[in-house]
Parts: sequence; structure tokens; C-alpha cells
Amino acid sequence: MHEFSLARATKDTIVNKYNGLHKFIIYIGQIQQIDIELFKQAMLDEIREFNIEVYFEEIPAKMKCNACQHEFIYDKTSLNSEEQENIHFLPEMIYIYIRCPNCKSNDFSIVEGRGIFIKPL
Amino acid sequence: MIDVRIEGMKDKLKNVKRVIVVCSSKGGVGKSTISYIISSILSEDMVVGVCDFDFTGPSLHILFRTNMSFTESDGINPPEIYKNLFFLSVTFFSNDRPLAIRGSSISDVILELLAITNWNGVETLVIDTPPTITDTMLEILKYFHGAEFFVVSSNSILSYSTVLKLISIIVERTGRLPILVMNDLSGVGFDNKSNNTFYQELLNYSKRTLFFPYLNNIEEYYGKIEDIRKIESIRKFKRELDFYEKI
Ligand SMILES: Nc1ncnc2c1ncn2[C@@H]1O[C@H](COP(=O)(O)OP(=O)(O)OP(=O)(O)O)[C@@H](O)[C@H]1O
Ligand SMILES: [Mg+2]
Ligand SMILES: [Zn+2]
Repeated sequence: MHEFSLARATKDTIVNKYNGLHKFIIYIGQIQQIDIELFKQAMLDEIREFNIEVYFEEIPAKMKCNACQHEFIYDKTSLNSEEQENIHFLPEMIYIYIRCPNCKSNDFSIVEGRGIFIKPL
Repeated sequence: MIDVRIEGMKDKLKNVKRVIVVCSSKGGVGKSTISYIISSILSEDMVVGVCDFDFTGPSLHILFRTNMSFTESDGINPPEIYKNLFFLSVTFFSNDRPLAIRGSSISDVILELLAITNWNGVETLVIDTPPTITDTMLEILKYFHGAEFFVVSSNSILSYSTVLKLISIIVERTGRLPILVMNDLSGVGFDNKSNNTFYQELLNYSKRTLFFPYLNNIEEYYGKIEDIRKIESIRKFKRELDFYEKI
């Protein structure tokens, strides 16, 4: 699992970029398929010695088709576990394994729900 | 709002001392072949990582003839495909199926890969890139300021004039001259072009020029790292490379 790596990166961002601030919200994109509980636990371990409060919000994945403009959500039910795992590691693999449900194009964009971002509160 | 992967990437790369970006604004001039050979010969002396950043047209897995994939522990560990040679490619995740992505997603692919990959002892990273001066190159120029850019040109006037433009952009973004790698792709050498003004300009414009030899039957050497290392013209190239490094 790379939840630990992501938690460390989040802590490093707080320490290196937001030094002096104490309260944050972490947005977790859904496409990543992060194990949120594991990530939260890893995050709490990382910031234990710091006076920092973090909140978490998962952002649902939203896609928009560049061919027909249809908007759709990430539906992983059609994917086998290996394909899901590949998307977990590298979300852009979604362009291989997913098609627009309306026109079957794989030329779509991820509008929301990609990556992990942090914002001070 | 800050993307946490930027700090993640810095952390994962903190022990990598040297990054060599093999690039060209011209396609088909030998970038992947040269990435393959440079990483094969450098890993004789040090621990090398080699990444295929040509996400839509990956070739290194074919050049190395490998189907090894990563292992997982707190991120991903690139496989050691040969002694002291670690390999990273999107084919680990794509199963070599066709991938079509827009430029706007390239940044995400690069950040993601570099934020989760453990380079475990790798000192030198060699990056193979796609042709043109678009997203992948721009992202690399953004994140790898200190890298050594090995700009590849074949011996054609069209290549010279195109490559000059990339060199000019690298100089502008990094403040340093790149290394020019003249690839004798057609086996006729460079003497017949020595009066060409683009060629002259190219030589003047780079920190150093390395001449990469024409390789007969190159495809027979795919995946044969030990044999590659023994080719006399490659040994000569390696001496040039070592010499350049010392100055
Ligand atoms: N020094 C060389 N001697 C003989 N053949 C070569 C040499 N360098 C490259 N080639 C051949 O030229 C062709 C293009 O090489 P390669 O794929 O490495 O170029 P590239 O710059 O990576 O291409 P692309 O722009 O598509 O990524 C291949 O068939 C390769 O075998
Ligand atoms: Mg190539
Ligand atoms: Zn559509």
C-alpha cells in the first residue's frame, strides 16, 4: 500500500510549505481508491509530535467526455481486481480501462476527484 | 491548495545524485536506444534507475526484453532487471495496452509515479522521453532543474534545425548548456555534414558533444546487456562519457 508514502508526503507538505499553521483539510480524490482509514491512521502517526489538526474529505470522481460532453462518475464494477489495482497506483490508467458510458469514447477528462490536496483552514 | 505529491516526489528522489534526461525535439533519432545503452553501461559502475517517460509509446521494456514488474512496500519498488539496474515503466500498470492521454494528464502521471516509487540505493537516474517539446519535457524541465540533458540528434539537417530549438529552450529554462549526443543512425558518420551551418551552430551551442556509434544488427542486442557492454564502439562511447563526467 502506498498510503504511508502519501501520508508522509502530506506531513512534509505541512512542515515545508505551511510552517506555523495548525489546522488543515485534506482532500482525497476518489479515483485513487485510497484506503481512507489506513491513510488517516498513517497521517495521525506522522503528525503525532506536531501540534496539528487535520480533517479529511473524500472528493467523488467526476469525468466529462471530450467527444460527447457527457458527465459520468467512476464506476469500477466492470473492472477486475487487477485493473482496479492498476488504477489505484496510477489513476491515469482509467483511460485504458474505462469508456464514456454514453458514446464509448476513452477521450474524457477527470474533472474532479484526482490526487491529494491540502489546504489550511 | 497544494498537491502533496510534490513533497512526496522530493522525498523519494532525495538520494538520487544524478539525473540524465535523454531527449530530443525530433522523433526516431535514437533516444530510447541510447537510454537503453547508457543505463546498461553506467550500471557497470553504479546503481542506476532507468524510467520510460514515453507513456503512450513506451519502448524500454522491449529494449531490455523484460516483463518484470514492481513489488510493493510503502510505495512501489522498481524491479532490478539486471545487476544494479532498476526499471520503471507505465507498462507495469497498463499491461502494455494502448494508452491515449491528453497533455493535461501527463503532469499527474509524472508526479504520481515519482511520488510513489522507492529508488532504493539508486544514484543515477536515466529518463527516456517522448519526442517534441510538449508536456512531458516541460514537466521534466520544471521538476529536474539540476538534471543533465542529453539532447539527441541524428545526422540529418532536419534533425539539426529542430534540435537547436530544444537546446535553446533548455538553456533558457535551466541556465545551463545541455550535452549533445550525435547519433550516427544511418552509419555514414558526420563528416559529410560538417559544413552545414545548422551542424556548426549545434556544436557551438552545446557544453560537450558525444558521438554515439552506428550499431549494426542492434535488435540482436536487445536484452543482452553483457554483450552490449563488450561492443568496442560502445566501450569507446563509455570512455567519452566517463571523460565528460570528470570535467
Ligand atoms: N546508433 C544506432 N545504430 C543503428 N540503429 C539505430 C541507432 N540508434 C537508433 N537506431 C534505430 O533507429 C530506430 C529509432 O530508434 P529509437 O526508437 O531508439 O528512437 P527514439 O528517438 O526513441 O524514437 P521515438 O521518438 O519514437 O521515441 C530504431 O529502429 C533503432 O533500432
Ligand atoms: Mg523512444
Ligand atoms: Zn462520450
